[in-house]
Amino acid sequence: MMLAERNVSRGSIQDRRRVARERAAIARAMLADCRLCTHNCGVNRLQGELGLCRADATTRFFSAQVEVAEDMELIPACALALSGCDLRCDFCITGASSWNARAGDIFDPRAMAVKARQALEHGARTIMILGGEPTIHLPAALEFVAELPATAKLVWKTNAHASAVARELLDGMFDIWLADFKFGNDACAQSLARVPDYLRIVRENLLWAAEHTELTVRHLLMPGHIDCCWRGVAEWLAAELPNVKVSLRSSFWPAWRARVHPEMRGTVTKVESHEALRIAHELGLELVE
Amino acid sequence: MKCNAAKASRIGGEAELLILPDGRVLVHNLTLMVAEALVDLNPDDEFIHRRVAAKRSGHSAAKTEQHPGNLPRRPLP
Repeated sequence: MMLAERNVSRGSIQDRRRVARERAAIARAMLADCRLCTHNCGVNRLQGELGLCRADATTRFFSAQVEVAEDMELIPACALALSGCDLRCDFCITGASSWNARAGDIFDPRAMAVKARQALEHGARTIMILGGEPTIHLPAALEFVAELPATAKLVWKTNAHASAVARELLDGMFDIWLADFKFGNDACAQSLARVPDYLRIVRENLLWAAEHTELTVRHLLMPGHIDCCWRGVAEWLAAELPNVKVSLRSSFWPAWRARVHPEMRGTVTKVESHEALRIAHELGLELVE
Repeated sequence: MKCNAAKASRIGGEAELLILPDGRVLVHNLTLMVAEALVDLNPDDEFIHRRVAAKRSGHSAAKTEQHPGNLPRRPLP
């Protein structure tokens, strides 16, 4: 695929609005053979066909508010959560909306941009698009970017399960990627999120993001998964992305369908939290708050 | 115990709290209003304190935010 303009280099955002508009049109046309995520469904979402994410061509959102939960350098963040996701994490804290692409209200990029501008004027430091998973709504996300001030600091909060073609469309559009690295092995990814080939795909996305944007990798500690998941994630980051910022979250709670998994019926213990921090320090990871 | 700090509208404005038996409080979708309440409950909590300070050090958004009833809800302006 040839994009109208392939590279909007990092920091060169004068033309971001124009390029975003061009790419949004490309992304919307791609919904006819959707391969935005690595499930590679190839369904025609423009005609209502549904792939694994169950999203058609309409984008909805289930939350839009200013939040202060993220890393210090990003808050206050005007956070817009789009409905639907290409993963099926049983412990998803927003499972009802993330598993349902028809949840919430229709996302109007232009109207939402007005509200986002107001949030910036009222003190928000960043505008953050999240989900669910925003990659499956790439056309609307780019249409939204096209409506925002070129100087707005934009954050793409993702599960890092995007396809190469989606990444190409995202190149230069967001200042910061806040990307999840949820599982330390494919067995846990399959069991907890029903996603195959997880490690290869996420690693590919993270390596790309580290090269093309400012990247922070997030990991939500899960009870009973410190050794199998966090240790694996931490060791890979230390080896392959040693200077990347790491946001280690310990606020897991047994939401949605987590209780299907016996080890996930509680929260992360203090012992597990301490062990996770010990691993991070031992490996020299750059933790952010 | 789990409670919705703001009962969900589809548009959002929702924060959720989980208070654990050992006294820890977990929060999802932390808004400034909830953060301020948590600081009042535990002024020694540096994690929350810094987040409130970050907001206060910015523009005057806190002055313009609305308090719909007694529910800590913070939709976009």
